[in-house]
Amino acid sequence: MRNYISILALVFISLVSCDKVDDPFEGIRLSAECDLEEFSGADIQTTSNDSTNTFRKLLFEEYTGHTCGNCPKFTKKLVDRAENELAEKAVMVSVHAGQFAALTEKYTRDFTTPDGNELLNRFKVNSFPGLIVNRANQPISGTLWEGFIDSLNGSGIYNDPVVRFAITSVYNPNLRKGEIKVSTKFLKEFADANFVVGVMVTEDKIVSKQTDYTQEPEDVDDYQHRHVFRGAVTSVYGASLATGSISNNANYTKSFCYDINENWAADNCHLVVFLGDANNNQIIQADEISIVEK
Amino acid sequence: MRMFKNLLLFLPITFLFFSINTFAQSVFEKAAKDPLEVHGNFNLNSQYYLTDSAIQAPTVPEQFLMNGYANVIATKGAFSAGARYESYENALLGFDPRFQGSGFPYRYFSFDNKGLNVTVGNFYEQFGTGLLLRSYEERDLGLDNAMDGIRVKYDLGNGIRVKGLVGRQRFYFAKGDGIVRAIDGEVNLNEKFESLKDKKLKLTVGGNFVSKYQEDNDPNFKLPENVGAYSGRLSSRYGNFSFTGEYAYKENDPSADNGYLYNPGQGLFLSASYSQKGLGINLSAKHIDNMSFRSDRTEGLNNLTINYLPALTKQHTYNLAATLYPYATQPTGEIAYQGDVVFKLKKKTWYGGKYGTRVMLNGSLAYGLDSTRLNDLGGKRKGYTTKFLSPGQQEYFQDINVTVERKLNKKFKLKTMYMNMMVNNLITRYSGLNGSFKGKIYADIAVLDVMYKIKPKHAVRAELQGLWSDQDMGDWGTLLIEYTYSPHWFVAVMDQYNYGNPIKDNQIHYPYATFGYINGGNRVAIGAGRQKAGLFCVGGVCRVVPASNGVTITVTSSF
Repeated sequence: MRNYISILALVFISLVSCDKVDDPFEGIRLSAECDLEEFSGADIQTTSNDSTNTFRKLLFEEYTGHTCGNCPKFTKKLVDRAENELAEKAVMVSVHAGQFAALTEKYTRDFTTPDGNELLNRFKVNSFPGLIVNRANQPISGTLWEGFIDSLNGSGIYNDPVVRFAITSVYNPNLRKGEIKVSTKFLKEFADANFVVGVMVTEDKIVSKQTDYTQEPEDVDDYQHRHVFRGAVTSVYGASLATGSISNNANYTKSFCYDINENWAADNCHLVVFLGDANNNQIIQADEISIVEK
Repeated sequence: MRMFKNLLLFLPITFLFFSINTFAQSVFEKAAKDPLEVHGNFNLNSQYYLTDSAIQAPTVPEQFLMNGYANVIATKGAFSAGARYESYENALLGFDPRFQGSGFPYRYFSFDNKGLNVTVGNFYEQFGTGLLLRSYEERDLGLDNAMDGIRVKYDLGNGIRVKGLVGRQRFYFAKGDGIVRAIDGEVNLNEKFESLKDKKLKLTVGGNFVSKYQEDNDPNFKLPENVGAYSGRLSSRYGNFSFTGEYAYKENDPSADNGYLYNPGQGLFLSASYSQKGLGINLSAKHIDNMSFRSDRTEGLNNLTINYLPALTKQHTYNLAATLYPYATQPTGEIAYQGDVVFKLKKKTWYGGKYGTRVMLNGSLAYGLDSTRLNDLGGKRKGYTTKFLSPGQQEYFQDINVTVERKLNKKFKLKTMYMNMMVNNLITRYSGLNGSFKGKIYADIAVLDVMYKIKPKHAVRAELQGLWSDQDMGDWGTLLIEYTYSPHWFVAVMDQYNYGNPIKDNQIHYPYATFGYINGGNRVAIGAGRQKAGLFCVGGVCRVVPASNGVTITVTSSF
C-alpha cells in the first residue's frame, strides 16, 4: 500500500510541473516610443525571430546595378546558395550603387541610396558584381564567389555563434511605421569590447529592368531583383550597444523606430540586423526578420 | 507557488534515497559472493582527407580527423558501474565541431535489489514508443542525449512497473540548460488480475508524464518555464495478432523549432501486426503535430531532444536507396502510413524454387498536416489549427519497394530490390552537388545482389545498383564487388557513377576500396577513395555527410 501511495504522490508531483501561458507578450514591452498610433488596431503586424545557438549567420553584401550585364548570372547562384545550403547561415543584402546603378534613358528606376553609396565608397568597391562578407574582406568579383563561399564552409565560421539574437518587430501598415527591438545574448566573453547593433531595410522580389548578358535581348524588363538594400534604420555602421567587459550570457537590448516608404512593398520588406565591432566596422553576426507575418 | 512546486519536485529524490537505504544491506551481502565481471568495447573511426574540389569536398586544415570511443562496464552481483571515454581530435567531417577534445561524458553506477533498480550518473531510457521520452546514443549520427541524474525503476510485482527519473541531458562535453523530470508506469493486466491470467488476449497498459524546466530569460516572449507532456499507451496480443498504440499530448512549448508558437503538440502512433509461419504483416500510422520536445528550447539539429518520433519509412541498406533521398521525420507536423508484408514462397515448387523464396513488400507515405493558418502571431501565437488524423494536401514522401531473395543452388544466392520513390525537396531540403532542387524528386531504384560461394570459406558478392531520376542529379549507377575469405579477411571495391547528371562537370565517379581483417572481437578495416555527399539516417533521424576523398581507418574491438 505504501508503494501505491508513493506512486500517486510522484504522479501528482509531476503533474504540477507544467506552466500554461495565455498571453505570450505579458510583461513584454517595446521601448523606443515610436509614434505608432492605432497601436492596438487589428492590422498591426508583429513578427519575431528567436534564433538558435546553432549557427552564426554572416552578412553577404553584394554590390550590383541594373546595367551590370554580368551580375545576374552570379547573383542567381549566390542567392540560390544563400537560400538553400546557407539558409541558416547567411543574410543577403544587394546594394545598388556605383556606375552600373546610375540612371540612364532606359533605366529610370533608382535603387541607389545614400547609405549604399557610403558603403561603396568606404569599402572601395570597383568591380561588379562585388561581394563583401561581414565587411571583413576586400570586394570579391563574381568569378571568385563560388570558391570563396566554399572556403567559408570549410572554415567552420558558421559553427561559431557569438550571440543569440531575439528580434521583435511591430509594424503599423496604416502609418507605414514600425518599431524593432533587438536583444542580443552573448555566448562568449569579451574583455574590451566596443559593439554596435545595426538595422537595415531590404526589399525583396522587385520586378524591374535589368541588363542580363545571358538573355536575348539583354534588356530584361521583368527581372526580379532580390534583397535590394533600401537604407539603414540606424547608421549604416550601427548604433552603440555594449562596451568594456562583456560576460557570457550577458543580454543587451536596443529598440529603434523605422519607416517603410510608400513605394516599397511592405510584404516583401525585411529588417536586417547585425552585431558589429565599432573599432573596425566589421560585422560579427547577422540575422533578419520580415515586417509582415508570413 | 514556485517554491511549493520546487519542494514537491524534491520529494521524489527523497523517496528514492529512503528506498536505497532499506535495501542496501542485503545488496552488499549478495554482491560479496558474486564474481567481478568486466566487459567493454572500443571503436575508432579516422580519416585522412585529400583535397578534391571536383566533388566539393570541404578543405580539412588538420588533414587527419578521428572519433574514438571506449566503453568499460564492471558488474559484481547486483552492482554495475561503467564509463565511456570519447575522443574527437578533431571530429570527423559531418559531425558537429562542438564534439571537440577528449573526456568521459558518460559514467554511471547502478544496483538491483528485490525489484528495485537505481542508477546514478548517466543513463539511457525510453518510455513506450519514445513519443515523449527516449534518451539514446546513435554515435554514427553524432546523437547522444544521455541523461545525467538519478533514475529509479521499481518492479512492484503483480505486473506493475514504475520508473522515475530526474536529470539533465548531455550537450557535447557539457550538459544542457534544461532539467527533465519524468515518471512512467506500466501494468500487465494478465499478471495483475487473476481472472485474466490464462486468457489468450494479453494486455499491457501504460502511461507517463514528462516535464522539463528551463529558465525564461527571453526578452521577446513570456515563456513557460515548466513544460509538461503526458501519454497513454496500450500493447496487446491475441494469438498471431498484436497491436501497439500510444497517444501523447504536450502543453505549450514555444521553441526555435516551432517558431515560438504556443499551441499544444500531439502525437499518435498505431501499429498492428499479424504473423504466422512464412507470413508477416504490419500496418502502422502516425499523426505528429508540433512534437519537437527538447530540454533547451533554443537548440536545433539533433541536440537535446527529449523524445523520439518513430519513423514510418523503411530503413534501406543499399547505398543509393539509403543515402541519396532518405526521409527524415518532420517533428513540426506530418501524417504517415506504412505497410509491410513479408512472406516465403514454398520450397520445392515452381514458384518458390528448390530452397524457397522470401518476398518483402513495403510501402510508406508521408503527408503534411491538414491545417488552417491563424493570423495571431501578435496575439496568442497559436499559429494554426489542425484536423486530427486528416492528411493535408502536401505530399512529403512516398516509397514503394519490393525485395525478393532466393537461394538458387548451394553456391548461388540472389537478392533483387525495386523501389519507386518520391521525396518533396521543399520539405527535406536535401542539397547535393548541383545545389538544392526545388520540388518533388521522383526516382526508380533497382538492385541486383548476387552471392557466389567459390569454395568453403571463399565467397564473392556483387551488387549492381541503378537509380533513375529526371530531377536533381539525374541517374546514378553503383557496382560493388566483395571477396570474403572467412573468417578473417575481406576486400571490396565499389564505384558510384553519377552518369546522368544534367551538369556535365558533375558526372563524377566515386571509386572506393576497403580491405579488412576480423579476428574474434577485433575488426580492422582500411578504406580509400571518394565518398559522395549524402544523408545518413537511422530511424528517421539524419545527419548530413559531406563529400570526401581520402583514407579511412576503422578499428573495433569488444571484450
